[in-house]
Amino acid sequence: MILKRCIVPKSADSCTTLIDMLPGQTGTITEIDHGHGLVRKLCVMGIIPGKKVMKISQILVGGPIVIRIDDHDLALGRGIASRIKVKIEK
Amino acid sequence: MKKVVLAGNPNVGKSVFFTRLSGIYAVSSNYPGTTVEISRSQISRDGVKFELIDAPGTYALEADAEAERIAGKLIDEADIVVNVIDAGNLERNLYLTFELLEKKKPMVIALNMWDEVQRRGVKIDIPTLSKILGIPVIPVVATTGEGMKQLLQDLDHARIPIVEPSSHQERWHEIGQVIQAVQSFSYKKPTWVDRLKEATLLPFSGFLIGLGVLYGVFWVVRFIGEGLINYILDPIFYRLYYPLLLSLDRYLTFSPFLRTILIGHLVDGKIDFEQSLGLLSTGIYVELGVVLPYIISFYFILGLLEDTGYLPRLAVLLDGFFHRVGLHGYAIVPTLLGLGCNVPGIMSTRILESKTERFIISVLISIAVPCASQQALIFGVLGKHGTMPVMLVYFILLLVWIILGVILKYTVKGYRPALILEIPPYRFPYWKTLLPKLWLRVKGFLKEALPVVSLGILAVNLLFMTNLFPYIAQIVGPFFQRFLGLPSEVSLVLVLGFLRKDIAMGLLAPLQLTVKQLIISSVMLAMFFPCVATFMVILKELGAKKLIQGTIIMLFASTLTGLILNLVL
Repeated sequence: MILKRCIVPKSADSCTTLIDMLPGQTGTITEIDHGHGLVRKLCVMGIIPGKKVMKISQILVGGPIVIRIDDHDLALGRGIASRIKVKIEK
Repeated sequence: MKKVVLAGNPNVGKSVFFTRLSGIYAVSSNYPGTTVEISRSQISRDGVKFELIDAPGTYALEADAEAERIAGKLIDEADIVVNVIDAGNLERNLYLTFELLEKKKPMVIALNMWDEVQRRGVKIDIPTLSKILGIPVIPVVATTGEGMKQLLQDLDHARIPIVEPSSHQERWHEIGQVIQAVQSFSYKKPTWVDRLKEATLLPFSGFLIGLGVLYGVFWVVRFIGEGLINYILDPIFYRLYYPLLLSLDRYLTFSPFLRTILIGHLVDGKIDFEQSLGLLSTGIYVELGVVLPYIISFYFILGLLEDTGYLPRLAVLLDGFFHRVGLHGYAIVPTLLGLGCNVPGIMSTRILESKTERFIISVLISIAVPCASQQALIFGVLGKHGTMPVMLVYFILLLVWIILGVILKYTVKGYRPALILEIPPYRFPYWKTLLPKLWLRVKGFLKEALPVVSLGILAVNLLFMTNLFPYIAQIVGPFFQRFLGLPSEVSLVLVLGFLRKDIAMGLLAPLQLTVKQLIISSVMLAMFFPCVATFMVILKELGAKKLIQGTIIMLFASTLTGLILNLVL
């Protein structure tokens, strides 16, 4: 059900990925669309659906995405970031 | 003797915690059959001895990663588990705690960085936390030692918790409830310091600050390294050690063979620390007089970058760039080290996760990253012809680094883990943790590199006694003349370059080469065989098969570059 909502974005409160989020925006993780191993790896670090996330920065030349979860910063490669879906807060 | 195992997430100050309890008497060794390093030490409290073991930092135990598997094994063997937690990051740290609780070992929790939490205005209700988890919880500040005595006392009160195994979701749900019960925030507005901290991770300001830091690192490493050489080590070697060697040399006249092995060949009737090739002359000098000072200065700066928390930020900033050659941002560490000396550069590739990455960066370092002594001689040979030729050599090497890197990325198959990197908050470095760490690293280098490099120098010395080197030079000489536009004498210099690059560069000077010939020879010398010390370290770190592969790549790349330069320049 969550998946469907994310595939068809609806205007303002649309679902997007960490890549398309703008630096400074906050949102809630809705879904992590990835293989079991990586989902687990993210899970044990506290990156799970339902968490609030703020995008801090997107490093140049194809560099990683920097996000803030629970008041702590994390860097994620673009491949992973593109598969983490987020509902942006207004 | 009871085994006490320290377990915790990465970046919770676990190694500082360990050093605090053990002092500098820790022993680090690889876990049998792996590259994961484990520190052990014996501590005593009130006459009772404990064996303290520092498990690798992990986020979980059940996993496929080598470090996590080993952490799990160590905990299974433990009598008491001390779970070190970053109090400022309680929620995420509790995930591992819940997994540890399920191991049903007597356990205590050390709530580390307690001072930082209070500064940030986070309140944690310790009695309630202890009651919910059913084990003692002790607030500590490992960097200053606060609370550590209490923790040692409370090892006796370690209790086996009662918990039911649960799934990921259930665990996070339980953790959420615990957090609600024990933790409360008082919101603080971000200050200009917070903004400055953030600027180091923003696209433009981050790069500018990063460049500044890299430049500073480079400058300070050379400053400390050269200072140690000029004012401490060279005086010791030339004033104290040299007379000692001379008397030994006189004593050894009864056995010319032993004399050649230990002291080496005389150069112009004197013992030459760089060219004599004896175990006690060149062997000792190269390692302690040339390499060691840069090891000390680099590891000091590296420790500082780690302890302040800048290193992960640098890795994040450079990740995109290194990604293009199939590496991660952390590859900046071996690359920087390699510019000082290739030996520690290759040893430090251990911080990279996969074997594929280690191979790629080792090949790139040994071929296209000139060490300090190579650079000194690039300047020495080409400097008098102006800045342009020197810059050109650096530019060519950089180009080789990039092209070779891209080729390796697409040809070397293997596992390259995706980047998920925690960025710890900035912290103030402490001497009491910085210096023991420096000492452990320098000790590790001496213990591991000294024997291999000595063995290498012995081997080269024995080869030197045969006529092998001039023979090889004779065979490849015509090729040099025809395709590289270099006189055949250069081939001998290149072959000798295997011993020490700087010697070889020095031999170029009397050959009266043109600027073009000098550029081609110095580029090829830099790319050609790494010095014997680097060679031996690659053999030790990556094995014979990888060394042979690397050597083939090196021969091919350096010859091709020489050919192209001869046509283009």
